[in-house]
Amino acid sequence: MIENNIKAAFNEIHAEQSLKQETKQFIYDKIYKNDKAENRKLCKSSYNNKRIIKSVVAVACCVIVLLGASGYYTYNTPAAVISFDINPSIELEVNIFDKIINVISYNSEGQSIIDDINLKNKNYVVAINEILKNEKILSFLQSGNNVEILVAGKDENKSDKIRACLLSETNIADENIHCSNWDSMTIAHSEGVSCGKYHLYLQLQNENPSITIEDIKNLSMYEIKEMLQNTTINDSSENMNCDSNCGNQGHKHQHGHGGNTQH
Amino acid sequence: MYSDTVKRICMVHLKNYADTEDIFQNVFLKYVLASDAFENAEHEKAWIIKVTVNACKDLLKSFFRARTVSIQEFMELPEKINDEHKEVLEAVLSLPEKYKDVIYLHYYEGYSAVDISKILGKNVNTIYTLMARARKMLYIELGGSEDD
Repeated sequence: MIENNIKAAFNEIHAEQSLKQETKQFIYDKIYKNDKAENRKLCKSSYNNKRIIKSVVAVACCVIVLLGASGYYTYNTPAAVISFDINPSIELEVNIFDKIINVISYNSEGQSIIDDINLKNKNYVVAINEILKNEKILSFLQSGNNVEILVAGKDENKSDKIRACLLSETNIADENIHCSNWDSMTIAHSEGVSCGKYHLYLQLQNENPSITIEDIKNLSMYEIKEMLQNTTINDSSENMNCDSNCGNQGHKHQHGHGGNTQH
Repeated sequence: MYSDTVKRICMVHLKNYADTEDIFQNVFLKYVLASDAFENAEHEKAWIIKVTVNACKDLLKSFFRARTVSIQEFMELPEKINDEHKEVLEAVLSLPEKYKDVIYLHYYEGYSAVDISKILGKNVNTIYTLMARARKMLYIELGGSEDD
């Protein structure tokens, strides 16, 4: 019943002719006398605006995601490796922003240092200084061991810059900071040793070509240095003996290797 | 074709001829300038209703509009409506704002609650609730049984 009443009541409501006429004139004036820009404001182009806004937002989101992904990739890509060897053997991967992005230990002493200090995302100078202040490291240094730093950068400039920074900002001596290249670092890792240890191995192998990486892999840096020292001393003393025996003959014998390696 | 529909919706919401004229003209201007094609006649009519309802609500929200013309003045406009129908219209127009569209669209235009929810952009359960409450208020106002 009420439905019928409502229907009947509203059926009596109509748009007046005058209203329709005025509206026709209004629309005519708007369309033919207005410029297109004003008509665009009036029409349902808000839907198009929303579509444009949605597209712009979608593209902006994609750009932000891509920038974020590329930034993440760049931040987490190593630009250099700093090998820190005393007895504890640690490698620090450094990104282009000079931040530590990864820390690897090559022996149990190194692992115990890593467990003590959180080095990730720190500047490499800050990280090295923190390692040097560690009690376990101090006890190694006080026992007469020296720290050996090897910097292997993807490019030479990076290596040189890191070396210069470490010289000026830490108390590590000049003769204990060396530079190497990325390829050597790759070979060192493939052999399962730190860059610093590999660098020392190459020096030893230069004096004693019979030495293999397996011979020194499990040795401490101190032991390898001792071997190197002894090999060098033996070479020197052999040269001296040769000189005294062969000097009258007017030529020298040079021995490329001694046989007296000490473990 | 839709002029009566727009006029009725304006009458439900607005209380003076000047406002009705404004809304009426703007709705049809938008209709003429609408850039998207309508899928069918139902879609077209639903679009007209939605635009008119939104235009009325926007106008009512506007602080500077006069809103105090009584229904009596409205009824003195060119149309002549009989007393019985006038009573029904007064009852509908006296409902709170949120019930008027629901009553008009359901009882006059014959839309279901689902269709009304799409036109007004409200939850369908809300529409059912509004319809039930509006019906109750109209019965109280007009008398009669809820079973009608």
